[in-house]
Amino acid sequence: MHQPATQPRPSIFYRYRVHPFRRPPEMDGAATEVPVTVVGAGPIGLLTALTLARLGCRCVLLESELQVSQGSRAIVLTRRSQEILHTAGVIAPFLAKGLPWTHGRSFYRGREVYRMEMPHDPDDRFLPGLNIQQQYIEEYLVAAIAAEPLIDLRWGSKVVGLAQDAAGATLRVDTPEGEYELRTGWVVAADGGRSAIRRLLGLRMEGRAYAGSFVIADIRADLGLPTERLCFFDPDWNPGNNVLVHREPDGIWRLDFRLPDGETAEAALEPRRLAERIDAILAMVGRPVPWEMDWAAVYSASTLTLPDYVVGRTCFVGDAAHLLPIFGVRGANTGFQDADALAWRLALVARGLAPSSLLRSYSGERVGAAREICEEAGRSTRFMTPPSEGFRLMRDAVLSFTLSEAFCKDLLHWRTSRPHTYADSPLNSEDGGFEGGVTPGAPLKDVRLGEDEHLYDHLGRGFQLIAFAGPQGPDAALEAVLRAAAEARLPVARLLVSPRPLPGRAERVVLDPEGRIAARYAAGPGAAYLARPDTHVCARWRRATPEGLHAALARACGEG
Amino acid sequence: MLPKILTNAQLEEVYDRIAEALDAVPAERRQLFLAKLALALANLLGDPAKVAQALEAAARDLD
Repeated sequence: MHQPATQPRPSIFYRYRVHPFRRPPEMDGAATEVPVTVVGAGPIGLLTALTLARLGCRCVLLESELQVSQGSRAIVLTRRSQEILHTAGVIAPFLAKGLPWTHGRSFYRGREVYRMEMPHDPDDRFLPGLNIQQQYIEEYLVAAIAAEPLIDLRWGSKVVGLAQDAAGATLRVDTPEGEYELRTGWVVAADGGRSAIRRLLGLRMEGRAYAGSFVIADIRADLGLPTERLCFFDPDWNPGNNVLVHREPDGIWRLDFRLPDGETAEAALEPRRLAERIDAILAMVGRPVPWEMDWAAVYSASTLTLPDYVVGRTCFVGDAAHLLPIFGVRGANTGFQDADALAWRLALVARGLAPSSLLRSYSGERVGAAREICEEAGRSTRFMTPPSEGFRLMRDAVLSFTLSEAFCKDLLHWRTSRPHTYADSPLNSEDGGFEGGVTPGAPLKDVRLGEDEHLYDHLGRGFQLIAFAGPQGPDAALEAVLRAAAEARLPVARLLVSPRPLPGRAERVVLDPEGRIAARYAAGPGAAYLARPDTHVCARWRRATPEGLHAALARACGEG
Repeated sequence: MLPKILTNAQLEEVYDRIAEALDAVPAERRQLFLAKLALALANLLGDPAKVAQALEAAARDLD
């Protein structure tokens, strides 16, 4: 019998809420079948369930524990993650709680040798980074799910068996009141780095693991420092290794440092040794103040991915699909993009609106993204934790040069997680002769329209048609395209960008008197963009036609 | 200050290649290998003044 902890987890800043286990109808003989079952209510499982529901797909969400994450874990949301949470309609509490930031500073031998500026365009709504503890990320998503009738979130429910067949899967679920079987059309494995689903299916990840271990410790202290990422290379107290410092809400600071080679996790977490090192870090940042420990853990870096994220009726997302180095905030932020890329497809497939072959392009796009990240993050990892003498010498050579030369300073910056462009996606249609704008596969670019108004605020659910009208309003050809979108078999939200007010339109009209949206999209009158429900562009036309729209929609649903 | 000539992508590529080459050489032969590499690069550069500039930059902050 599964016995999840019923006492709130310890924390000096976060009050855990223990959710009750509720006996599901299947335990009393009800023979139900749910379209989709999401396994794991971490950030990625929660967002997947929420996005499925937003697109009209019912799901059960199984979580083995009765409360949210132990420890603050993923603490940085990228701009793309903020955009994804915004389009899911849940960003407000994140912005109210989180700490936004744009840059980092790196130090070597007591000198600032590099300043990292993360790209920020004045048209973007969100800053490049938002620091917030994973407990809050999960809490806010759980709250949004509580208001969503299409999601049945079941706490204290641990998956212990999985049998797949051509029509679906049967999950064996262990609970505080015993086991039951759950019949489902599809399974989403969002059950994290030690995924039970991955193990039950006997799947192996490909890639490599790095030897170096790191400690992350969250402390409460009054450091009086701004929100920025601090990085210290080779400090006196930890020769050859590095230290990272991030600010979190509630007066909490994340300290992250590499262990000397060969030191075990147990030795590193031994309280007195850990306390000495935390004191050394605070002395190093010039703030030797009293502090309190909240949580500490040891991790190591891997660049591992499953070769396929769709196995029978099971789709993998997040850490269940891949284990990536956290340098460049690539854990949860990569997972959010997985969830965003999978949920709309699975919603269409589960509702019978698209063939199941559509899921193959999910795997293709996201395995491709993970492999690219492994390649790129592998470089950062080899810099942060040199795997051999050759790499250690090169790292030291670069650090030495940074004290007097600029040419290799950029090697101190690991590239930060950013939205992937699915340029080679089979869902993309022709790219009709644009000069600039947003290419097929890339996410829609945001545009600032007013003090607190952006293009992304106007996006609807489902596919998104953005049509550009001239000064006289839409001409006959564009009217035909808008009509075709309204009558399409699939949900297509319509946005009409117009230089002048157009009263009485059925579409949502966005005023663009100065042509700023048109310029950012390199679009003249009669042009149109079609974006998928995850806001990645899949087709665009300088002169859109109903036939072109129908063909692009069919292709984007895996029917092309 | 040395001019930045390689792009970041090229620099990353070169970084990995030299690191791997160093790992392929026995530890006691790495100094000899690096001296030969410097000489070969100087020859390819074809400009003794630039070699002097590089020598000066490399000699700083060694401890």
